[in-house]
Amino acid sequence: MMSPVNRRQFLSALGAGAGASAVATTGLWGPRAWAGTAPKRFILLSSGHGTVYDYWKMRPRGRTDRGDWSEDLMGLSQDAFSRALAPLHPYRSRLQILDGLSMATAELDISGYRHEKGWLHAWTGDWVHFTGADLFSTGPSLDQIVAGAIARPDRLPSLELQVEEGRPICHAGHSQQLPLEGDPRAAFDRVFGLLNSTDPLLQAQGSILDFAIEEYKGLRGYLRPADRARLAAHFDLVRQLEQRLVGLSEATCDTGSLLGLAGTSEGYDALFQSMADLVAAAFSCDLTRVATLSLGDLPSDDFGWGWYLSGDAHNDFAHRIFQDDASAQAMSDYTAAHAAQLAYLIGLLESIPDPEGGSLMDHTLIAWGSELGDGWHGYDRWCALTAGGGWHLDTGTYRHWEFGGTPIALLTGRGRIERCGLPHQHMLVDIAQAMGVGVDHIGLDHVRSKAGATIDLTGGLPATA
Amino acid sequence: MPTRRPSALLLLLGLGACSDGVATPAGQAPLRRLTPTEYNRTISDLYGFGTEDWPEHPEDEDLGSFPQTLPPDIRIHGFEGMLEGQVASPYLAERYANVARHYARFAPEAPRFWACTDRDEAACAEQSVLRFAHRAWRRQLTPDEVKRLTTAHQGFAANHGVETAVQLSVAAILSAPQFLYLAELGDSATVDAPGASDWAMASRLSYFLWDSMPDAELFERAAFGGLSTPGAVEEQARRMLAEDRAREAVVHFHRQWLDLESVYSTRPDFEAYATRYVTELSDPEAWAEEANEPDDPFADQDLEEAWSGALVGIRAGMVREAELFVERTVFDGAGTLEALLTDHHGYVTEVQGITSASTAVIYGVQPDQVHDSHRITEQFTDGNIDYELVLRPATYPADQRAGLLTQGAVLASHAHPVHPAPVLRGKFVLEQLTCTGMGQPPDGAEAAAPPDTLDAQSTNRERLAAATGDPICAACHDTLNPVGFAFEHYDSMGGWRDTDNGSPVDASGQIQLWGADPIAFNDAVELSRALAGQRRVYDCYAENWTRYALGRELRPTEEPDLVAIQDAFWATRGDVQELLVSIVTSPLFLTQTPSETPEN
Repeated sequence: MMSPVNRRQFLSALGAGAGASAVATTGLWGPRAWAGTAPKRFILLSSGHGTVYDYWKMRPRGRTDRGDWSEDLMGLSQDAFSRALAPLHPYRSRLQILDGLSMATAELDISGYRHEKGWLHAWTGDWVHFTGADLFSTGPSLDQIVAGAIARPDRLPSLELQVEEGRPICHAGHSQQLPLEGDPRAAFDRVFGLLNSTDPLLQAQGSILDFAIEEYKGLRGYLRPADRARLAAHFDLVRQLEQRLVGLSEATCDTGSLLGLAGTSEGYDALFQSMADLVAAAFSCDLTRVATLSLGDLPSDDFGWGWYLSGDAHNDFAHRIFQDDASAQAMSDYTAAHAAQLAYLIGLLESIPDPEGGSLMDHTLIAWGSELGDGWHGYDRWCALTAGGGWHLDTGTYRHWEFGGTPIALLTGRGRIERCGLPHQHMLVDIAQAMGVGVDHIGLDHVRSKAGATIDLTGGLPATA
Repeated sequence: MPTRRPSALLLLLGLGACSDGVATPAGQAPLRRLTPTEYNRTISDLYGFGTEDWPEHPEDEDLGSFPQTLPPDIRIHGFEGMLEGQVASPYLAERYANVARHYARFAPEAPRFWACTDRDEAACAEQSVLRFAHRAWRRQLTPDEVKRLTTAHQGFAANHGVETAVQLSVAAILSAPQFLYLAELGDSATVDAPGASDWAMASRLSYFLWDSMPDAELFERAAFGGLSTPGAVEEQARRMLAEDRAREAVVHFHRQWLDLESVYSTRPDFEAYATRYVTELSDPEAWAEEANEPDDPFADQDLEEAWSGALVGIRAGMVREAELFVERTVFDGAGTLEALLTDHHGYVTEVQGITSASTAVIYGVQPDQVHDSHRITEQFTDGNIDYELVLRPATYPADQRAGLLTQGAVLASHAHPVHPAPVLRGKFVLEQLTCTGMGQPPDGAEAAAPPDTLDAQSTNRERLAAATGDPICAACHDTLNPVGFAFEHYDSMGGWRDTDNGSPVDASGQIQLWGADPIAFNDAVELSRALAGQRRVYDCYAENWTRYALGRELRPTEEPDLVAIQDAFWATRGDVQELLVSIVTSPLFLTQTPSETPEN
């Protein structure tokens, strides 16, 4: 009963034309071209196993590891781009590559669980809560903080998606882990599917909530004023939920050919593209303004290393990056494969006109980071970048901060080090502020090193001159 | 006692209840939401699947069937289920809708769902839905509710098959405020809902003593007005306390009172403790050699992972020890608060996982102090790795351990990674055991604390005394520090130590309780024994339980009733089960209505 897969058709329905990628790479609309009243959107992209710093970093024009500096990316040729980030060269005008960050607070948290601690600290900036069986957040993740500030009341506040086994990085608050949707069809249902869904319980969600609201009205007459107010606070939210469901079912958005999306999930890249298309479509129709893509492990064939070692990226490559240069190269190509996926996403958003003018990408900020600094579970070199957000961020730049400015001891792949890079919380603050959230810290506002020094985590990233 | 039973249908339609006259007005308790614990247990009792027998999720087996995660309450005095800690959020509203839908899918298969056998008959489905609502909402339905529910169900049935219609009705019932909240109709509702106060009483009892919905006997009592006298309430409470769910509920109280699970978030330092307490890691170099290729530059992280694996088991073992200790003491042992604070028995845990570990090393017990014949074996998973916990009853040295305050879970959860934390331990004792609020530290207090490093040049006590000697600090620390110093014989993982940084440990101090003479002690064992004789501690424990039973803060005008409960508790020398009985028969619990209604 599904219509045949036709993503191109869907893209063309959105006005992108047949050659979405081709249009995109020409950079039809430059950054900062549109900074007017169009809604801002945010995408959080998180991948696994960190990267390999030496293959990720860039040292243009004789720059070294010393000092804080920044370089204009527009002047860099394709060859000057690092191996891991090469696929992003066409979109360099939108990038802000951040070199010199650390996930230092994760190191100060409970022992072990380095992946889990990492994916929590990366996006909440806060301590973990360990129940003895699972790790949960102690505060909301960046995507939820942004959604809280920019969501439309009659639309989905945010969309949490995973490709294969993505890490659970989205959290509404203390111990409130949000489920990630990995099935494009179910994700489609959440966004567009109230009328198209085949699940009677989902279809009838509005009636179910209507019933609950009627019961609330029946009950409140029996209650004392204070209790009535408490119940009203809760059921106002139920009403809003219902309003959202109604809003979503009545939204005008051409989804005719989008139904085909559900079938395009053969292979990692196709799955990623399905999810990216879904996000683009949701943004285009303003059905949501915040999306998370949590990227699970890439199979080795997908980054060109199936011939070397078959099996999973984790044990076969990630753990060996400091022992074996082939593994380090493999994990760089692993990062490059994700960079190519990000390039696809940027290209896609560039190719779709924003109803308010410009392209969707002109009003979108994408943040990309990982659960770890490197494959051997280090937090010392946390490699991250942003794409878009030109209305607030200094895009088209490579920013470098000299390593060792922060007195927190980290366990790395090469032994223990006593000082590390800038705590990554400053990047989270920059992003939140770019999205219009008026905060001066995300998660922790300070920590103490073991030696007793107080480390300030408020404010955005310092200037790099 | 009732002599005749009205039929289920009569009950549902509001025709069958006999109101024998309400001797004690039940009032109307403030509207409290089911906690996540209560929600899931209620579903379990409504459906009747054993915990192991839940079918797989019809759509997605990865989702797991039971229990479901719900947004936690904000803890007040450490407790969930407190009125003041229950706020609603957009996420909460969406999560409740999704969880209701999730559980609704299982209803047609549930052993306790169907009220009749002709499952394909429309009338049977309707009757079952009405009975389900009656049980889920924990009282007789009002005529309006019956009407609305019947209409809704018939609407669903007109568009769907029986099974789907049932699922939709169940999702609706579970989304309604009557399910989500302990919504009492109050005495004024007797025309619409005869015996409303008896139904309310059934739920008050069951959610207090069982963390779940009333059972069939409580429902039957409620239907016949059989919960309207203190005597009837007491009889039910005693029956309920004899059931296993009461054990779990009493443990759940202590889990929160002692904040046992915070031990999971502790970060004991590898260098300070791994070699001391995990035999396998006692020689890191040898371990590294065995586990890795020689000269492996990454041994550091492997060691850390091994340490982390050992800690998972040690922490779980400590929590289970405290839970078992509470359960056995309250229900199978002396049954008193005094025993909870002085008994020097415990449970040592041996863990088999990626790294094996045993708390026997931490407690310093010899094999002849461990009783293998009564060992308890439990499975445990941290999500990735399965562990086997073996808990064995142990007799700890009487001069080193006395009750809960000297058990690993409490000690380790109030400690810094390297050194124990007298401030946290003192604050814990003062606040949780003596109800002496210490407030929050002023800005800058944390920065002034001594660094938690291995290269300290003096004892922990000396460093803290020096750091808090300033008169401004001393205002609070003169109270906090001496209580915390009592625990200086225990390191950050709860292990006993005679020396600190080469000097003999000084654990002496004194505690000044409100309205009592200062009590001097030489160590935590003496402190625990002293606390076990202090009226203030009994009063505080009873106050915590009373607040928990009501799910709200007490008002000043309620003090006389609280004092009566405290007097009775003191008179029994701290019998915990009797305390619970005296709470449920107190006017506070029976009438509930606070004299001042909180506006929040």
